[in-house]
Amino acid sequence: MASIWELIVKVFKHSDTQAADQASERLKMVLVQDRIKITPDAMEEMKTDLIKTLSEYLEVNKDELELKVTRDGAQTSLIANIPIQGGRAEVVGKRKEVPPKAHFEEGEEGLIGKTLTDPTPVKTPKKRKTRKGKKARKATTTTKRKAKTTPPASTAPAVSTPTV
Amino acid sequence: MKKTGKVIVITSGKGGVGKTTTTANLGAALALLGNKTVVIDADIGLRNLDVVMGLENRIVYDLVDVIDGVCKLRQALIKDKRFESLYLLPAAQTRDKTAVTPEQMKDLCEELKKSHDIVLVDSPAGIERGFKNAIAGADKAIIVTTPEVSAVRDADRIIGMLEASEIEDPTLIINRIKPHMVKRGDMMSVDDVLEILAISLLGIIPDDEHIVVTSNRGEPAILDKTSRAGQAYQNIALRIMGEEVPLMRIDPEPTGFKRLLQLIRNTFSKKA
Repeated sequence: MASIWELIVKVFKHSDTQAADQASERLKMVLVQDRIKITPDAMEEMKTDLIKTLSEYLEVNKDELELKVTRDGAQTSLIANIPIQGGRAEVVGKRKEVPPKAHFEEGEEGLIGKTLTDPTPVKTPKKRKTRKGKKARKATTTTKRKAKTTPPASTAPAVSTPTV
Repeated sequence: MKKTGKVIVITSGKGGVGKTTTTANLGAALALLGNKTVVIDADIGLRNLDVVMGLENRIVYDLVDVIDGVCKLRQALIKDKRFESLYLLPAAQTRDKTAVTPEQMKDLCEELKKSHDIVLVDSPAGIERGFKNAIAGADKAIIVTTPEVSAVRDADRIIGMLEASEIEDPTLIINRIKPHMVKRGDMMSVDDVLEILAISLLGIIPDDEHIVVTSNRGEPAILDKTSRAGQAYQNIALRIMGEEVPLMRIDPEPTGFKRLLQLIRNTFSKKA
């Protein structure tokens, strides 16, 4: 009985996974690889540079930073998953390179438009670290996501912002 | 009189998608529209444009002879007698791709531009020297593909390479579309291919048995009024000339009982 029914279905109804759709999907996948050529060395170099640049603004988790190429429709993107150390940050400008104890007065060293902030590191409670793998904020190369690295000022009282 | 013609390369990456047939038919259609046209077979060592056009018996000199200075350019051009102003510059059959450099090819195209409205270059398959020669002198590029995974993938690679060579905005011809397969979902549609390649569409050509017949005879399909593909090539030629021609409607051939009726009707109308 079942086999007769199957035969009827086969005759009247076309298979669910359409060959054309399969072709499109497979092409999209293979073209991600074809279109973007980044050597592993260049990828590492990009990562290092990215960490260097981002670290000027906030403390990133270097070991878990991920860079990968993805494709959504016609748009191919380089996606960076950048876990933020401790899961908290307030970014209003560049941090000081080495966290010093001194608190700079406004304008004292702000020669090239650098915003001087009190570089007291954001407190990083240990237990948050264990969650960061999954909950880490994602920052992509698209601008709309960038805003996410700047949470409202009120969330991080440890950083004092000099008024301009 | 000096002209400033356009050099258009017809390329695909993958072989067997219809570059040569496209070159032959577009060349003929453009000549028919009043353009002084020359088609160049850039597939050195594997020449075929001559047989598709039915001019194989008239070859005396070829592209490599011109470049080596064995003959003058004018001596190597074969006039297609069926058209007012269509010429073929055949490829050499006994040499290989390395007989020509991209610079020489560029100079040749520049020379032909002075005396022709349109120079069509039939590119060989692949992405090596032959392809680089073919695109060297091109102002524009037409990419031919079929709705198959391998052909579309290769077309994508070619688009990237043309971009790198600063040949901007290549246009696409999707060849050998089988309407009934597209309708069943067994073949990628025009929209599927366009979504993936994201370049502008110059034309679509339905799969057409007439093409095999006209190629066998060495005649252009555009002269065959019953050939849908021939009509599609004429539309494309008009678009190249800047006219806005709507895309050919590609409907599936009738099947089942309707097909039977049509077959009977055709049989009788042929006898009449």
